[in-house]
Amino acid sequence: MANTSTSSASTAANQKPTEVGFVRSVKDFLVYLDGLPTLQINDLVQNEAGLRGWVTALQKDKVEVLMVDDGEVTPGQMFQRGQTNLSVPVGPFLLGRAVDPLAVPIDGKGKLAVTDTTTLAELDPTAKGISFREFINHQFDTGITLVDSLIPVGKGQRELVLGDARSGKTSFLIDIIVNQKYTKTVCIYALIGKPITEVRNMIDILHSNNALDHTIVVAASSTDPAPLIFLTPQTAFSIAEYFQKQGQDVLIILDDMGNHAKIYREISLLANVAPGRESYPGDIFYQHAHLLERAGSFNRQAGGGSITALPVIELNLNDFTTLIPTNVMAMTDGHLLFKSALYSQGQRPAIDLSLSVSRVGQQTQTHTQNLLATKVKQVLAEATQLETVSRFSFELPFETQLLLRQKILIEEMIKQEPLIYISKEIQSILLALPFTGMFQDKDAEFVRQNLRKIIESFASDPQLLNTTRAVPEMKDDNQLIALLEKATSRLEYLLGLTKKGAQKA
Amino acid sequence: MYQDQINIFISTVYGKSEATRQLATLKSYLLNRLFSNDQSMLTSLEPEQIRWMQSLGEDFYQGINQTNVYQILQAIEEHLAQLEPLIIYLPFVLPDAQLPNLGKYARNLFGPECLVEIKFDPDLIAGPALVWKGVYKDYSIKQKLADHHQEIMDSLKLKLN
Repeated sequence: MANTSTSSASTAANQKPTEVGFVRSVKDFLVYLDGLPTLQINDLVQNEAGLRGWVTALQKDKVEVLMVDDGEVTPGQMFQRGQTNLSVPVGPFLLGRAVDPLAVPIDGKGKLAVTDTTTLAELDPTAKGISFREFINHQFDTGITLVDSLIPVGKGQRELVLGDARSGKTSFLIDIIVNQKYTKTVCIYALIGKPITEVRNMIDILHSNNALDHTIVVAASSTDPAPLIFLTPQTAFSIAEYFQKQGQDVLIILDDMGNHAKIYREISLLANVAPGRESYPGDIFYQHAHLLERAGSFNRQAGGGSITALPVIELNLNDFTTLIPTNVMAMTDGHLLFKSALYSQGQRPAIDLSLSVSRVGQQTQTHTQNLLATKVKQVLAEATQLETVSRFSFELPFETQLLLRQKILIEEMIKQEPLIYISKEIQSILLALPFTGMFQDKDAEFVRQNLRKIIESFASDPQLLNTTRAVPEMKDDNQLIALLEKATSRLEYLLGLTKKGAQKA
Repeated sequence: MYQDQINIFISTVYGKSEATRQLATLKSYLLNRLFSNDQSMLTSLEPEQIRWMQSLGEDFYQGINQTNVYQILQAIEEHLAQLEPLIIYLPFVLPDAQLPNLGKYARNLFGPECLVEIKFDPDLIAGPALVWKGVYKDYSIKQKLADHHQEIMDSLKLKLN
């Protein structure tokens, strides 16, 4: 008997001690535990039924845990400290997959190829400091003329995408992801608290456009527990950081941060955190800033690569002056404002140019692109002013007529059908063409009918291709316009406007 | 403050839930004795409860009066809430009469204020599992089987072959 007790005592002494705690109280997904003496923030705890909880606060006599799994938790239940803290397995095996915020596959394609040597990425690390960052000087290629030319985004920039419901935000984001197959950028689409049908639909759209190969979908649907939804952007960033450390450029889309804020408000109110403006807790700004700070352009010491972040916010009645949009505007490097009114007028993408801004992108453009963008913006601004005056005048001076015509032509040129990639050279050509002699007598209808053909001609016609290739060598916008003047006869011929001039170009 | 009463109370109880239960009994008894003196209350008590209240001794009751009864009860309650129990998982239901023996044994090991909390877990098969200050130690057969799972499976396979 004595021997048995000694032996069992020694076995237990050899065991790694397991820390446990007992449920003191439960409020929906918020659980308070006692015990667990050496637990730390962001650790995982698990009960006997396998339900996992995420430690969010350590109080004097209790531990605050947010349950990330659905299930029944009752007072007195025992929770054990988990083997790992809050982390997800990361690696190339995630490409083409859709996972939940704890990296559990949700696409029905089976388990992830995780091995013992797979890297585990912490979900909430501190963002890298300034010594690991580089000046943003490379343009992020969206393949969309309006953005790349007039509101350019740099690699590593944080650009807020905000707008009404049904203003074309999602299709714009899909276009950007699809276009990244030409740039080999890894895309991470975080769907935060969206309906499950929308999540499924998004995966199908990306798959049907061959965009899933370079994309990872991280999604927590609206039916998932609130803490799991809250963790979605954290997981997306942890995955993004893995690819960035491999030297790759990564695009991360957080759709949408308004939902994320609402989920955090729900969690905070349940935890008795004092509500502030619009009932959001006081640290909502910190939560979002702390997250978006993880984006950037990084130096070799940090693995090279970049993380470009596009947080999305859906507005209510186009009001962008509420707390969350203004907060996120303040912590990003610009914003693209989508308007449903423009969308219904047929503008694609429906971005309001006058209310959108990029604070970093311009420094990534070439000198010619910069000058051309300035010229275009100037024409648009001047023409908008003159438009009002022109309504009261019967006969306008030639210069005014020309300016108004150029505005109409530019507006048509920047309209872009979905799923079309336009290279930067052709974007410059499209914006410069309204300033050439050929377009002085053309109207919007002409551009509408011929835009696709113009793009194809400059991309594939052997003679015009030489012009396209020469665009990056141009020193300023006037030189570019002069170059295009020489190519217009060939373009007119290709568009069927003349029967001669083909050889001259 | 009121440390004598607290010490006497703790020395007569061994289980955490027992302590809470007895405190409730003591509270109704004292309030009745000091403010109402209703004899029918005493008759409604179980013999076990009466014996326990007698075991507190005259010293315990001497210092209690109408002005300090609430403070004393509150002090005992607060002290009890601070005590972290030794949780013992057992694969069988422990008879109530055995609790003092187990409690005394635990106090020898863990100190004079140690309270035990017994939980029933038939999955343990035999042997206990303990939780002390948030650390779980399993001395049960279930854990032993889990530790030697592979060896047991191998030897079973050998026997069957």
